[in-house]
Amino acid sequence: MQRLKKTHLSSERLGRQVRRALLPILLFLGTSGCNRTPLASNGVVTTTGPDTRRVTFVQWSNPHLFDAGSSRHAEGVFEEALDNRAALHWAVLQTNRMVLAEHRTIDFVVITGGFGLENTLPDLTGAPPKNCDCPKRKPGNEGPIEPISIEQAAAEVARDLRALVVKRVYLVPGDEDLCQADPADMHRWVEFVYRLKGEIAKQDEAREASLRESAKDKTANRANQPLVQVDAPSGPEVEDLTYAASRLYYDTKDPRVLSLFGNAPPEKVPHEPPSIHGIRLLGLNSASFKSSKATVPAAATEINSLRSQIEPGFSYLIFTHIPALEDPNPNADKPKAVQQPKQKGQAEAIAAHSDGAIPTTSWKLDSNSQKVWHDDILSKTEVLGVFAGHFHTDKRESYPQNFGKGRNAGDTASAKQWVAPPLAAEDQWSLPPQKTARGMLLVTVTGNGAVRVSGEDGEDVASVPIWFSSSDQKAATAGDDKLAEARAAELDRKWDEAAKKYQEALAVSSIDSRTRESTLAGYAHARREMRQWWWNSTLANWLYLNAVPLLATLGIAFCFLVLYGLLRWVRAFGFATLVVKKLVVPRFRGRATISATAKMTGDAPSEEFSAQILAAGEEIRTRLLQEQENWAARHITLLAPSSSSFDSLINSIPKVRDVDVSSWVKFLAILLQTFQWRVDSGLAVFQPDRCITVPVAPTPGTTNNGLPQGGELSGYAVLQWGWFVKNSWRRKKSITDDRSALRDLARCLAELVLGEAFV
Amino acid sequence: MPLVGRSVRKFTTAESFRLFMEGVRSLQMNEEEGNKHSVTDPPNRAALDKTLSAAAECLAECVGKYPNDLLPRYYFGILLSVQAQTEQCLALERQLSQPTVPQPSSSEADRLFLEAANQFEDTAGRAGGGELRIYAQYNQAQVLAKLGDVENQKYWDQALQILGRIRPYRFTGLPFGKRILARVYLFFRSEEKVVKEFAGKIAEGAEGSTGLASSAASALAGSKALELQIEMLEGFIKLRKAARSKDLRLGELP
Repeated sequence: MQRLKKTHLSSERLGRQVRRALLPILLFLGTSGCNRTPLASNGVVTTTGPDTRRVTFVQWSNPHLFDAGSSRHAEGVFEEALDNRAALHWAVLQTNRMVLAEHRTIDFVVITGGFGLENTLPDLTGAPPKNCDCPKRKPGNEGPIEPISIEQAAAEVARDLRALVVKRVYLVPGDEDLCQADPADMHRWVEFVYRLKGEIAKQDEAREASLRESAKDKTANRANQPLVQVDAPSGPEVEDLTYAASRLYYDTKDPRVLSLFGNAPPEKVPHEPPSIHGIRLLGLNSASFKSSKATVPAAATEINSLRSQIEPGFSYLIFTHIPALEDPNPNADKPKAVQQPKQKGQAEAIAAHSDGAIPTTSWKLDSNSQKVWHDDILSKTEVLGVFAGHFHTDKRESYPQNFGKGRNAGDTASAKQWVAPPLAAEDQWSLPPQKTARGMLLVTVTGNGAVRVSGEDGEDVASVPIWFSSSDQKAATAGDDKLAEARAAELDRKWDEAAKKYQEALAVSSIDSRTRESTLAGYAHARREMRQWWWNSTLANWLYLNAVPLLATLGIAFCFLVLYGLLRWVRAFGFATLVVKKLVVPRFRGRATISATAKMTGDAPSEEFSAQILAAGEEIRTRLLQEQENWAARHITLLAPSSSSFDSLINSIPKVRDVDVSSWVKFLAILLQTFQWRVDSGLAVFQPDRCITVPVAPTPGTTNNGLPQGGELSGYAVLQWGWFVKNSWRRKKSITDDRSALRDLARCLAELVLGEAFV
Repeated sequence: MPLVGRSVRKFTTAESFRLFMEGVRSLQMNEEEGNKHSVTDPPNRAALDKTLSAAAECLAECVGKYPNDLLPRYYFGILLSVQAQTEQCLALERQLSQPTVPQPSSSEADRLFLEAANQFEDTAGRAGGGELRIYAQYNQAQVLAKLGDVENQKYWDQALQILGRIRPYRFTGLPFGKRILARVYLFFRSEEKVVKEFAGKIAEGAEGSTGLASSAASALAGSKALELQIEMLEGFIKLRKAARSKDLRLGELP
């Protein structure tokens, strides 16, 4: 039985061998055909022809495995260490799940620093002694956790990474990986990467040996059965994208690094960076860009080195730790780094920020370096995206690309910067899980050009944050759920509710001592707040809880009022109505439908009044014809009553199955009638004022059929189309001893309505 | 001739139209009352006075409040001339009842005629070139001719000048489109034949006739009638002038 592993080629190795075999052919094609086709570092064409290029990777940042608990107390220090480790484990499992369960192709994982190596103990045997402040706990602090050696740290990370099904991992250092972000401490990072690679290889071998031993035992026990050898999966290939080891070994000749590598020097910095499907990956060591210990030349060297690697015609992704954006929580780093810049270049940087020429960033670099970064790197069309971490803000909406100030202040190049949320619980430990912003970034970069020559070739970066959640959403310990609820209430400043929740948490009999301690502290705090005068005053309490929403509401209402007043002041509503009228309402030409007259008083002869209006319309027409005013007479064919025969026709429509067609047709008819000229009228009869009216004896032979003699008829008519009223009139007539007042009033209103056709 | 001659029928407000219609209604009622010829049911003087004063009230108010509206002004001129004729009739009545007593000439009638002439002149001046202008000019000439202008006959001369300026359009009263079509239609048929064909139907068909031939015939008849009226009025003024200047000869009588 042959061993499978030795005959198995990973896709990467197979690709490498195929490329070597195809190299001469491709070189020939490259020189004879498209002379602009770029070649990768290994001489192979980096693009995949006309097919769409697609790179997918996962970005983890700030695991803080080794400096956890900096701002915690008591057991909280260890709790955070566990929490951070759980987050890294979750990241491994989640990444594997995306590959195995969702069948995504993840090309690589990139960890943009923040392991917390400043709290580790370098083990550079034989290196000259160095006066280093790290690891050092600040006076009065209980955190972080106890330091471990870099070797132990590397072994721990190696164990986690070996569980990863993605076999390519890239790293860049973070400021927490150097002692006080001092660039002179880079050897710490170099040693970590060196030992991590070694640990992976060592653990691979140990695993292989273990499996081999197991197979031997099995053979011994079951002599008749064939040998079964299970192949051990190989660990991932780890690469530092900043090539710090090579640079410190060959360029700086750091004695610690020279000592570390001894007789097996590291590979030199490759001439061309690693490339995935034609997209090149670059690392920028920004670990010391926020530190007061950073020297201007060192930072300038990093920036210039990065610039020199960007060649026209290629696509690049840049990975770094600190983004060139303003930190949404600038106080987060205060204990570590923030001092006033003393060096000349840093002062210039501040000046450059203040003049607004370059977007405000958290980098403390000299203005030249900032300018090179902005103009020669970030704005280059070759650079598709810059991926960073470092931030610990709990605002989920900010990730991955919504860091307001930096984005707004910058130009379009700022849109290239993406920030991954942290894995660690730092600064977010007090929040309930659903209110934290911890996790990782899933990024897909697609391009559609065979050869990339400009930024308009269609590359697109899509980045989605995946939020951390523990695999078991139940309360970790009894009472934790109550505690979380109480803390949520605290955040909402609802102290009574918080106190109640704390009380409920304390009532849980199986509560552990840590939770009890936190709960008691929280309860005491809530009760203290509740004893304040403003909490006990009903009005002040209400204002305390609702002041912000109230002010926001009032502000919005005020804005609306101001806007309304402004619009009224410029007569916008009148103008808008006029415009709508002009555009929508047809001209009135004397044709209108008379609606039934509304009876405004009980004894008003409304039906007769409608008939009188119709008769008056006809009389007007006849009189105009008599005057040879044919044109005008033809116009006012007007005033037709709504047809009762049409109504009865609609009412007679039978139901079709369960659908009442008649109602629908009626609705449509009414809708259509709404949008035509219509006259609404009303009539009221007022009794005479007995105090001032002298009763008049009726003229013999006349009758007013119930109209009170000496009284008054009041009628109105409204000419409208839809909801737009063209005009309305109200007229009065005194009632005499006959019904002529009714006729006169009807004629008067009819004349006014028809007169609108000639206005 | 204007392309669109309808602007003269515009009213400033609906209230203006109401006052105008009330005035026209009263005028028509006055006319209806005055047209009674029955011996058993003669015209009622009180009703005549009431309708005339109602018409005068409405039209005067309309002209006063809405001076830009032309139709009310035109009808106000007609009303004034009717009032003037009434005054003349009353003067004649007084003369007939007391033939031996010398009666003064009706200065009130002349004042009303002059006022009417002013209204017609104003209307004609602002009516553009449509039919209203022609009718207003004709009416102005007519009221001037009715003036007792014995002294220097300047109003009669003015009336003759106005009549001389009137050029009746053949298709006055037809819409623009119909005017064009009527011209085309009459290009192929003679005017006399068309009028003859519709003779006797024109008066009845005036209300609802929409056919092109009927409209053309109606318009032609109208313009012919106006021409004849102008001719008659001219003859009447000349005759009156001749009678006044003692130059009238029997041979010149129509």
